[in-house]
Amino acid sequence: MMLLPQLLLSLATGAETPAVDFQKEVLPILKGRCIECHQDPATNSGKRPKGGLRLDGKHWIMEGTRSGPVIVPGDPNLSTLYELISLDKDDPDLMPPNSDGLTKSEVETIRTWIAEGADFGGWVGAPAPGETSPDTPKLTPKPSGKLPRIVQLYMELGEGLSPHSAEQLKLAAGERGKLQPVFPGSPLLSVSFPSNQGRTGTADVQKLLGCAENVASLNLGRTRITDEALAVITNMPRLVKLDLRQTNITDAGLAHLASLEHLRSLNLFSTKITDASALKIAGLKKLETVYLWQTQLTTAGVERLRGLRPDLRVVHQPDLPAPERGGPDEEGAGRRRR
Amino acid sequence: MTIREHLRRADEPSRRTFVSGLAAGLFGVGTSPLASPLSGALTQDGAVPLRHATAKRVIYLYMSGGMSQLDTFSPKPGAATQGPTEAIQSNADDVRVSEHFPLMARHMDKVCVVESMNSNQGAHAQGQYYMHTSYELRGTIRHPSLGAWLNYMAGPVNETLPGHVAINGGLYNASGGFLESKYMPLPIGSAEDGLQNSARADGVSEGIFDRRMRRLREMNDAFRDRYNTKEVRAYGDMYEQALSLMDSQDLDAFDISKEPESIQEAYGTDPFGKGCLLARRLIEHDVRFVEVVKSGWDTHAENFDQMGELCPPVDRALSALLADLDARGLLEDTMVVLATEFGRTPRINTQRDGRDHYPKAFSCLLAGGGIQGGVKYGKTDAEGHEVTEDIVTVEDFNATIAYGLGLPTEYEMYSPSGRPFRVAHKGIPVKAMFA
Repeated sequence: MMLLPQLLLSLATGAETPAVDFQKEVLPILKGRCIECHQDPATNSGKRPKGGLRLDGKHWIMEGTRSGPVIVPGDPNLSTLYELISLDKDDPDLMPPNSDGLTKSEVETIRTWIAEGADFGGWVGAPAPGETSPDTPKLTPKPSGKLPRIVQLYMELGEGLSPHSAEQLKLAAGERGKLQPVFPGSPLLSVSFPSNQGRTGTADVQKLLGCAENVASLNLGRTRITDEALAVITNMPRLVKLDLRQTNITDAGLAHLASLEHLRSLNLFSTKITDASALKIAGLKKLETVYLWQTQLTTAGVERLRGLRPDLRVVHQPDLPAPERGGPDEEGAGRRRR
Repeated sequence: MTIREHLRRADEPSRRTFVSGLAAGLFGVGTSPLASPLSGALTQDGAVPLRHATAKRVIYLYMSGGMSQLDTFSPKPGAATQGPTEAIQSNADDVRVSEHFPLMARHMDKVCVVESMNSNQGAHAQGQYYMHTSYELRGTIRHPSLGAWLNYMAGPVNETLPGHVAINGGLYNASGGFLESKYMPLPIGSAEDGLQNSARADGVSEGIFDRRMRRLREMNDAFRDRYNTKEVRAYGDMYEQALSLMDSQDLDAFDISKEPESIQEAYGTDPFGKGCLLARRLIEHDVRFVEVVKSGWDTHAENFDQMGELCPPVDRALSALLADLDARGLLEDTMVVLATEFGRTPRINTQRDGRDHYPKAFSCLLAGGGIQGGVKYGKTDAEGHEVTEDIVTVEDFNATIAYGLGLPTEYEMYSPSGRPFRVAHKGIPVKAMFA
């Protein structure tokens, strides 16, 4: 109910008065009363702009201060700039300071300009930082760093591959699957079954056959799959990451992995894998990390694997803190674990 | 009840805040029945096209009160400002930690110590708000925290559990802000108690329960038809979401007593250790963002005595968490963050043997989720007064986390009042921190 009269009022003003022209009406006020203190230090013998606010360019006006914007287009009442010029004459925060402030009509011009959306017309003024020409985009990311390694690999593997249609993806996802490109625009897929894993089984995995070529990451962790499901994986030549943690797969299932020449990460945490798989794992030439905690691999089996593949990170027994009463394990300090 | 228990209870949200928080938290569960196979990338819950993500989830450990950098992860051995805290070598060549972190010394190969953190907020409420949201605390608006942004931009993963959880009182800072209430975190007052009141009451059979819910729907439907607004619908939806959570087979994720004793002991029996263990269980079930708070770091007085009390539970829980996540293969795509609102003065306040607030140069940690471990990022001078290289503002730090999660940092979303906001405000991701 409160909104209605205001709405009518703004409609009425919008209809009757022509829009405020920034360059003709607002800019002269800023130039005359504000910019002297609120400008680029470079044009003001090194003096920093008061309150950290510059009013000498479109970018700077909209940027506001360290505490946020000073202009909210369309809403003078939320705009700090309007608030500070419209305070009472005896208010110490009134802008411009040490004066009687702007004239009533000047204040009203600025209020209307903000209410009408704070349109600068074509005016740009002092350019944004890092810009020479006023029209270049303002985001200039630091040049540091490069793409994460895994992303580079996905780019190579995805080359020349065409993405699947939404229809195909939907079919492959079935009820429980979640298929996403590894990054937007990539034809490679990351597949997981994140909700209700306990109801996800071999049949769900077999649906993936239709887009198996494109699967780069497959997370079957905590699902009810059996070794049989892993047969699908022989059709996934681009698989980089395979997560089988907490499933019922056995050594027999791992036989299907032999053809995965790009596999980098294999998670077998809490599965029934035994020493018999050590050789098969060692045969995965590109493999960088294998997770074997809570499997049936013996320490000897793990050591054998490490011997066969010194470059492979074999994660077995975690270095967990000893129980409190025992105190910290001083001997272990500084020890490096593979 | 012991004093300790009273104190623990005092930290818990009141029944009313809990219930309303629950409503908000649960409201987010399973809201997209029409999720397409590409839902994370394309639907409104995740309307934002993501970048390549190296991290899928975040465990955000918040050291409330302002953690002393010199006495924890950035000691300056030999400097006049160091005080009595000694430094020890870690398993990463260039990284030394304080003597209070003997367990973490064995896991620093997984961690990036961001030594050049810089904030402009020197008071607790303002600093915490800024750290969580990348925006300054203002009277006119409430900004979403990172966990809310993640769930808003990327959408849910596990659709039967809330995507955002805050343990040990994180609700004061973790917030949905101006986003819909479903992005608010589900508050867990005590990790030990887990999610309370999530089962049917004893003596209420399934039949009776279903009948009651049916009756409730009948009564609500009439009311809802008459007053069909978003707020009214939200309350009805809250019941439906709660029911779906009650039925979720993932509810066990909230119960840390399901963990073997050896694991519970490794994390520690204090609230922070239990909170970290609960966080791991939730992350394992694809809850996207879990915050665990450890308070008490405001060491204006007796800083050095207090370190002996404050650090060991964090040393234990954090090293257990990193080792456990790593052994489960989860550290590859789970980012662990240790953050605080500001550091503490290098200069020792000699009257009280304490350190005061110091936002100018302090330290936070990042690990996992694609972050390069075993390194320090940024430099401060010999005594730790000023950042001398590679300054990382609070906004840059949050932008870096967002970058790891694939969230576009330049994407602008508009608040209900039409103002543009970004996930990490003006922060620029520090890509050099990634492997």
